[in-house]
Amino acid sequence: MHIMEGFLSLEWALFWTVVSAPFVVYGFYRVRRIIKEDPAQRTMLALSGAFIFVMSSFKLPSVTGSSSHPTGTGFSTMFFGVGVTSVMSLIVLIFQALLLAHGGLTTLGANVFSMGIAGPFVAYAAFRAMTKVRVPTPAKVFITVFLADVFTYITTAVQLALAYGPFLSSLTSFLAVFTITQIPLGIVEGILFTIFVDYLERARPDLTERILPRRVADEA
Amino acid sequence: MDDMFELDEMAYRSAALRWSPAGKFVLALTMLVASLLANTLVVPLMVLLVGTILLGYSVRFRFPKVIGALVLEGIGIMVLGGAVIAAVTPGETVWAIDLALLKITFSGEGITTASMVTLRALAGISVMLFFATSTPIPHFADMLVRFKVPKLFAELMVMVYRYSFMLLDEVGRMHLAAECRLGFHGRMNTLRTYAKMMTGMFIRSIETSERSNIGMQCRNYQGGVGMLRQPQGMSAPWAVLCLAVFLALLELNLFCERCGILLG
Amino acid sequence: MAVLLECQGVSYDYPGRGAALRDVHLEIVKGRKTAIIGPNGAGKSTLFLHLNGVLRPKGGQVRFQGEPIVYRNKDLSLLRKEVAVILQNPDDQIFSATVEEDVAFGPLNLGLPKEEIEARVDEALALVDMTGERERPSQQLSFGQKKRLALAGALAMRPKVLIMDEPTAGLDPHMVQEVLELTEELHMKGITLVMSTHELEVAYSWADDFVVMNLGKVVFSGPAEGLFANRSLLELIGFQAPDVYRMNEEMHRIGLFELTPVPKHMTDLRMKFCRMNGRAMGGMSIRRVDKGELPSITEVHTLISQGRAVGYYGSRAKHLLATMLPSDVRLPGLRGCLDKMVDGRDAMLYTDGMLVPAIMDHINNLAQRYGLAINVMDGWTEEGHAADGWPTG
Repeated sequence: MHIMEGFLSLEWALFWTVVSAPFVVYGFYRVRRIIKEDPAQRTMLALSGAFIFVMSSFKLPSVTGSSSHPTGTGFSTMFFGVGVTSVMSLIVLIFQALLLAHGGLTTLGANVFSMGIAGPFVAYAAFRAMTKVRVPTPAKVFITVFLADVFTYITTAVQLALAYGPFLSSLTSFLAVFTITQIPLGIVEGILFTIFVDYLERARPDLTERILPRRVADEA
Repeated sequence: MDDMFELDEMAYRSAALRWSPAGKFVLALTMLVASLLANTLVVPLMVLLVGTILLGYSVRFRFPKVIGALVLEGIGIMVLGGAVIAAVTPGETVWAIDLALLKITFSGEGITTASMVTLRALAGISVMLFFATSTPIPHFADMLVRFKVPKLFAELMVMVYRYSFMLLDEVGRMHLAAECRLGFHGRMNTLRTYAKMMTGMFIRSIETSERSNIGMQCRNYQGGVGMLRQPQGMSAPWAVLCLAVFLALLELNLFCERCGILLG
Repeated sequence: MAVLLECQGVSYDYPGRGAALRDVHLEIVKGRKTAIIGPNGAGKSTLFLHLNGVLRPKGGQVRFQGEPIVYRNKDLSLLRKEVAVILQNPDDQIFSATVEEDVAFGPLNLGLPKEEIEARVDEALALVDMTGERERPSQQLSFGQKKRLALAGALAMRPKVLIMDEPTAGLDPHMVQEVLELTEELHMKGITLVMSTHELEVAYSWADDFVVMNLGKVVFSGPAEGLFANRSLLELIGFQAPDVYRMNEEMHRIGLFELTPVPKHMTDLRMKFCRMNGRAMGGMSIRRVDKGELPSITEVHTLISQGRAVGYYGSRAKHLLATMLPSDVRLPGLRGCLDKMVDGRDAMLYTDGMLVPAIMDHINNLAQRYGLAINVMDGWTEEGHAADGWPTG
């Protein structure tokens, strides 16, 4: 659930665009470097973007009865890190706006910030920490994906609360609504990816090693 | 998923397909910004009207079901968001609901703000749908290049677009196959099926990416792709039109403000 | 016979997957059609990627026009301009969003001037008969159209050698025929062709030379007759000689006729019967579409009701006829016409003037081979079609 067109005043729309811009620029710089180092990554990046986008069109059953769409950013974060994820999110959000009329154009900056920067950032930090203390893979995947989702929506709530009314009371209201609609989604997406990684590990262990390498621990 | 196919095909059949993408984009943005700047409900109403007419023209006044579905989905989110905004905005209480656990109060200011926001969102949906139904993603990417966005970004975007449809085809087939074998029977089962589909899709994407790299080499790819048809730029008439629309909407806003019509 | 491409003891292995090519020797001769057959996993696709330098042999060398391939970007780029490889799955090779942008992909990579690119795109799209689709988004195309688009993308490079990996796989019979006819046309224009296929029947009627691969090795290379005479080899790779070939053999065994000429196609076999029965074949009258000689649908109906066959040959004729006739009318090609001529019917063939000598050649060869008199008439003069009658009395 992204912030819709018209929900942010011009000042806030501009503010979030300006805040997001440096992250996206940095992410794009990373993308450029990855491709320069290994041109074969061009198709890989594009396919990952497509994968996230297609997955974000899955209608998952959720507890409230309505269906929801996963964000897919937790997955991309584990794969490429925050920088690249922010660029991917921008592309995916543009597609959602232009192919599904979800989200908006003036709210693009705010949505990139919540979905492509804040959520992934928290998720990535947790992911690294968990890798260090050797949390078992299923738990690690679940928590990373769940956090990416939940922090995306917490950020969205903050953005809306900042724009409307006294901050604290409206934040609680927005959070209350999101708790009902988005927490279940986060759990469902977390479970989905945990099963996914499990299947992948069995089908193509070489690929799983590529997404969830133990190298983060080795680096540290 | 089918929504995407439909909107994409619609864009290629649109009556406004040949309009300059840059022109359409700036026009859409102009109207969106004007409706954000306005402090009277008349402006977003006006934008909604213009947006709907443009959308109608774009789809040749045949509104397919998918648009209805998208608008309804939008309205659902809007109503929810609007209600929260109405409840959280401080002011004199005009209406209150007493639930067992919490008391929700709506202030007059809150309701005004909420209706303003909801109208803006509605106007936004109509304008965005106009742009979406008349501008395929590749045209949008072309336009970005015109606006000096790095070529690599536009290129990636077009590739993501192309691969998305390829994966969607694949997913569609897998979905059908899974359905034939009762893969969506029950919640947990559905989740497991989705996870399986994702695994299949993911492995498929990696393999496709490996083969596409070979394909690119076979076609003499050297890094950096040129374009045969340079996209139509932003012509002077479009710029004038956008400016005129913007000024007209601002003027409308001032006029309504002076007369005190539907202030938000 | 000039050898265009040559493999000398080429071997290759994919890391961790064992040998894919083992000491492969191969010669692709200029102006000929070579079919490469073999079971799945025989190494055909791997071999193709060596021919345009995408893969570099771990042992041995690949030569183009007598020179060993140089694996530097600039040289590889020149090589790939001349040697175009079309992958089996068109989706792996289509990158752009619209048809014409995708055809332009290769020429754009070559850095050609804009007018040149436009000309090549027009030409390539006309060849595969997709001019009407030029602005369509590539993801909305059908599988057959994607196959043709991939072909157009390769043709836009104007290669000397066209290497096609399973070009007929997954196509309906009509489209298979169209692809084959298109390659015939390219062949007549002087392009050297290589095709891999599982369909022995298709390869048999199409190819001049055969290369059989099995488990990364070339186990046979040479003309088809030598291959089918070698039963033990065929059995080892699990292939069977084509029906027409075996039928001819059986008929020879029961003393119906000589073994030679060996027919490559059902039409050829029928020609042998024609000869044996002393039946006369129908004649062919050629009409040149480039001179504006196009039939209306009524004329086509009239001709057919008179018991005549109407067909076309070449992409240009096909395209022009398509603009004249309703879309549900599907006329046969050259081979279809010949088949009807074996029945004793006359045929009217619409084609481009440029292709007439090649058609004449082809038919004269057949006539000679099977000892038949086939009358072909192309009475075109600058004043118009001088002879309007039919070649046979």
